[in-house]
Amino acid sequence: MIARRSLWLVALLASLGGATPAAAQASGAVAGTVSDAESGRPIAGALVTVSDGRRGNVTDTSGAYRIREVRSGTYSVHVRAIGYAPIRRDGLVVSAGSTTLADFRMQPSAVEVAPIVVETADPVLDPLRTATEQTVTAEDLRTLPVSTLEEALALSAGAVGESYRGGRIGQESFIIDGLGVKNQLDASTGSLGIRLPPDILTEAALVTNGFSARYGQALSGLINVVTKDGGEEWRGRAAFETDRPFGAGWDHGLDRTVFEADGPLFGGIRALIAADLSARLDAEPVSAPPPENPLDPRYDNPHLLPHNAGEQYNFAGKLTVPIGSRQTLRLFGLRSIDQRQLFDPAFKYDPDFGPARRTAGTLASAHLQHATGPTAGLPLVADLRVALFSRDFIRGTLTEVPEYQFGAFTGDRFHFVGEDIARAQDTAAARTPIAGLGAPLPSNNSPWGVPAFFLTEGSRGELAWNEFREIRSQLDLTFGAGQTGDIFAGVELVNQRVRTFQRALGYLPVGTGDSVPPATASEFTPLAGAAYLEGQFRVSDLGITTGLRYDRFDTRSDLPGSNGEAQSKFNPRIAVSTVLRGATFVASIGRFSQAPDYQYLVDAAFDDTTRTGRFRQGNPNLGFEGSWQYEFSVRARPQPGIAVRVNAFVKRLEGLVSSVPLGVDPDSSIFGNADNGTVRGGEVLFEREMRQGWGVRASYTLQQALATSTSAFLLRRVIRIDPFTGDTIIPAKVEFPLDYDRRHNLTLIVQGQVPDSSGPALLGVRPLSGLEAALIGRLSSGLPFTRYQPGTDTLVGEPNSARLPATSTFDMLLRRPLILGGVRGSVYMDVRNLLGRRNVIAVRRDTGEPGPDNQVIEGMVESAFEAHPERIPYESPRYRTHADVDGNGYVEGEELRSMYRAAAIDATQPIFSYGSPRLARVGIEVLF
Amino acid sequence: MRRLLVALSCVAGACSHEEPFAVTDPHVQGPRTSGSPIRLTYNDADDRTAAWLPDGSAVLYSSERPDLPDADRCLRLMPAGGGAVFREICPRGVGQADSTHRLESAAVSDDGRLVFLHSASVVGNPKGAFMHLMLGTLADPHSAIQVTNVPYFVPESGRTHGQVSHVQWLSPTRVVFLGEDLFYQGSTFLPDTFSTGLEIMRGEVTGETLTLSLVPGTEYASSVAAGGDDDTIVFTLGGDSRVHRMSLSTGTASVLHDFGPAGIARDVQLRGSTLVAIVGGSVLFQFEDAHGWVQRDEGGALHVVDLATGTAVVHTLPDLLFRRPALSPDGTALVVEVSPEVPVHVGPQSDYNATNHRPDLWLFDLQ
Repeated sequence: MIARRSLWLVALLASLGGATPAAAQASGAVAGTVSDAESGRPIAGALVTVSDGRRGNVTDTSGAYRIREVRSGTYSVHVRAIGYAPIRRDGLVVSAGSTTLADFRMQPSAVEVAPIVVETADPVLDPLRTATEQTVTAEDLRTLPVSTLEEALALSAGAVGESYRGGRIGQESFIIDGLGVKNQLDASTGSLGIRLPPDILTEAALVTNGFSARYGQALSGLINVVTKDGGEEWRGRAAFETDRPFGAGWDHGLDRTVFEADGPLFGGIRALIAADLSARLDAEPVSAPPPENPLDPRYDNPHLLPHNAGEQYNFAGKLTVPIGSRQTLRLFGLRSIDQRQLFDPAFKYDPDFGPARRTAGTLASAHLQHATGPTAGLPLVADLRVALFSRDFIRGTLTEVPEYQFGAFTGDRFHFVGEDIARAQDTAAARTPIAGLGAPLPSNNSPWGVPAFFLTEGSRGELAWNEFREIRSQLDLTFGAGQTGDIFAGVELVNQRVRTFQRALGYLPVGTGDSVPPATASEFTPLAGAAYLEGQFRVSDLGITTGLRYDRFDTRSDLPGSNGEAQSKFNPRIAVSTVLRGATFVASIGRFSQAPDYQYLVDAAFDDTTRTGRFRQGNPNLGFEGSWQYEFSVRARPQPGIAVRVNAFVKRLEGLVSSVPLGVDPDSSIFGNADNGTVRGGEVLFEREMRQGWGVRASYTLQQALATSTSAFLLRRVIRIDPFTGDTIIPAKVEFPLDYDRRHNLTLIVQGQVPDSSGPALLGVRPLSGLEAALIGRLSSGLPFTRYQPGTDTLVGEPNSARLPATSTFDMLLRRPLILGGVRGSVYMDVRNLLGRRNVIAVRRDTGEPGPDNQVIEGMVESAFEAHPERIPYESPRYRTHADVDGNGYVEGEELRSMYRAAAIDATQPIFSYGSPRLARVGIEVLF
Repeated sequence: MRRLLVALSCVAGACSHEEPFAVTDPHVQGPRTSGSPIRLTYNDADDRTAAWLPDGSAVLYSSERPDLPDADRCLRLMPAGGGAVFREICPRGVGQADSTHRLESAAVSDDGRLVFLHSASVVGNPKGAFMHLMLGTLADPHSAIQVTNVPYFVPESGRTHGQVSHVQWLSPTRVVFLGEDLFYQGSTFLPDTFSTGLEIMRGEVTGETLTLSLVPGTEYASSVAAGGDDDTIVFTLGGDSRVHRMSLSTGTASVLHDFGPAGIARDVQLRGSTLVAIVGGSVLFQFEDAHGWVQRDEGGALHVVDLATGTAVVHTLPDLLFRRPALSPDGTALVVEVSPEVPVHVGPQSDYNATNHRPDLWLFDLQ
């Protein structure tokens, strides 16, 4: 009954907006007035069109016009009116979500004249731009020292990697050309699965505040991506970059090639193809200090880890097909493959037995857009989208170590032991040891010889696979309510399918020693839906955006314990903005909700070596995670070319998924909507546009993110033991910093360009002519972490009460344009962490330092020695001549103990406690 | 300019990347001492039943693992000249950790087939072990299959063999070994165990099947070895100083060599004209009421005879005794078990016998 009522509500909301098409996620608008150049009177009935004339509008009696749903990009505008000379204006830039103002003054003549001054709207001051957006353009991706969209977005104020405004990973959603894309299965712990080749982008924006009711599936941020359409003539770019020339210490095995080409085919059809292929022998380079023991193989070669290679393949294609004069069909396909070997310190001396993972994602979409003609009385844009999104993930042991073909490119698919069992979700077959998985044995190949800390043969025995697939149907309508208003409405329906499989310690039969949990598997087909209605109006300098969004999801599963009820939520949002004294003030309030990761609906079997439990009970009745966001922002342009933005926000998080105890056993728990929190913060953004050859962007973020739990997989840490009674205490509410509670963050981006034909000449060549430079500096305070008593599960102080040290990096890109033989291009050098700063990004929870202290080491030594005190004879593969100090043919006694000590120090090297080292690459690009 | 060209070629992908750190071989190379003989193993537990790979590149032997709580015996491969073990074949599988598994008496054929004895018993108690003769390949020993249960009954003699030893390949399809009687005296712990030879068995390998038959005329044999071709064996008998040679196809036997007054010969090996045997020492062939005729053996002297010239060399080491020599394929070296000299016991109630002397392996250069 509830499900039926919810569907009815969806239909109702859809019908409320049914008169209008919306979809403007990938689009902006062009608006303004047309007037007589001599008299200044408005011209009614003037036809204003963009580009090929497929989009346009007619001015009203006040001379005003508004063209909606113009995709982001650069356009030519044509204005025609009887008795006036036509006007053509090139280079008009339209950004997603903003209105570009363009006023025209027409000469009363029949002869075309040169373009007249056009005033474009200032996006900084645009009162209709109520969202807090930080935009990354295609040019940014090319001119800044960033390689991917994710890296570019991480430069945004409030971003900590892929966490935004203190939110956990997974509280964001992607909007690709107006289409929502999210890994609803495990967004909080896994990747999206697809990556856009950067050359396909027109622009991308990170939206962090009360975003439009058009958007859902997110609490903390939206990443709104607009991709290019194929151009009117063939063009493209190809580039190759590598770190091969730099040699030891700087060469991390990187090779990357990107390619993009677009242009017309036939019949008005335009095509675009793009590829981004990258591989690195050490896919996660670290700046960990070299070990002190010269016998350690890292001693002389500390910068490259074996069995840590990764490769990514991203392919995209797009067809833009005009249908008649008012419809456009866009077909888009994206395929991403990311496969990684994962360095495991335990397999340091036998790296071929280390784990690996593979993620493959596919997005295929069709987008049909209909727009009424310029003279239509009721401007309407309708966007119908149908998309298939799938993501396939597997992690485990490779059947064989791949061979490299070029750099770290293998050109081959990773295959995993037991993959067929996982994909078949055969939990019965998985009760026995999985064929091909062997128990790990102590390694005989370390310089220390001792049978401790390092492993060989076998593996960790992990096998995890999941598949998420959805078919999304989405209708968006934008309805023109006069020259000062728009109404947006839409509805979406998403059929999803979830399949999971997990097996831990797969080399042992289930139940061995009461420590091998059974394999878990699940399959269910959730149905999600949403509808929204939103109005955006401008009255003089006052802009109002208000909307209501309805979200629901129904797991439609027969998972154990499911009550069979759908979950639903209404999310009202409103933003008011106005321009006062040259500044735009925006206040917004909104409620946001997202379905929980579906992984929390099902049982989880995982090898959590830090706790005794390896099993977490799923909860199929989880509801929406939600938040209320309040924001006040001011945007100003104190001088031409200089913009300042100040944002203050409060975000109340509620119903976040966390592990909650079941009964009195602290290791028996279930996922629940039990976590609440608050994020407060302020952001200051300053921008000096590129003028006189240089520009600056700077942002500072001050925020505090508190909640009652820090991770869904960790038991709510509010549990304490009463020191007097020994009872378990669960306080009503104790908030502590969230994992991404970065209090201070300062980002500075400086760009400059040497004018063409300037600089000193050398043999007739000016090497600095046209040279572009970009420098990014980041200074961030440390993230929180939780201290534990050494060797115990007992917390020291409140959760997340300790802080990592501050971090800083400086990145630089130098690019020198070239024209050789009529071919345009450039060479560039990109250096990350230019100063080679060794940033600590993680520490041990027992010591609060990257590495262990002597007490920890000696504890390891004693435990290992007690387990294997036998002396090692000469012929043993564990015998080491350097360890046999007295030369009697045995490593024994103190000789043996010293080897255990060296091995313990080796095994506990805090390799991944440090951030990236200095990474450099040189590249060459060709534009055509 | 050259550096610039190198850099440009690198940009074009024409030069290679740096490699991640590689693990250098940390194991010792070669024996600890030089000369002859040299001690190959220093294990505190047993190193036994050595055999050579057909190409003479390595020695395969059974080694007890004192570092494992279940004291398994694994097969190990050591370079022919000594040094660190470079490969170890240990029992795998479910439940292997809660019982003692012993892989012993291994032999490798010219085509890489591996035959060995596998026994599994309760930790600390070998009595009642499950034993099987296993057939597989050296390349994939963990896929070896059981071809014969041990004990097995021999219809031709009416005896039951409780143990096998001296396993030898005569050809890629034929093995011979010594069938033994296995006794557990008194208490059940290891030192009480002893075995004595009963008769020689031959096995014909067809695919994954081993068909056994008795070699007639070998009653109370104490050792057996390949006789130079796939039809000939050499063997010794309990209480006998002679080495016999027999044609399997005809059953014709002759005396190859007689050590005479040197004592009881056993553990014979033959390569070309080089004959090796353990002779005399701490050995006793006697009738015991509880066991019948048995040969109790604590080891003896190592005799090397050149049958072509008739020259003989006797090797001894102070306070040490030899057992189970293994001649290299070319006959120029041998590996032999060496253990402390102890007197052979004379009564059935002894709590000590020859099967557990913590022997180590030594290498003799015969050139």
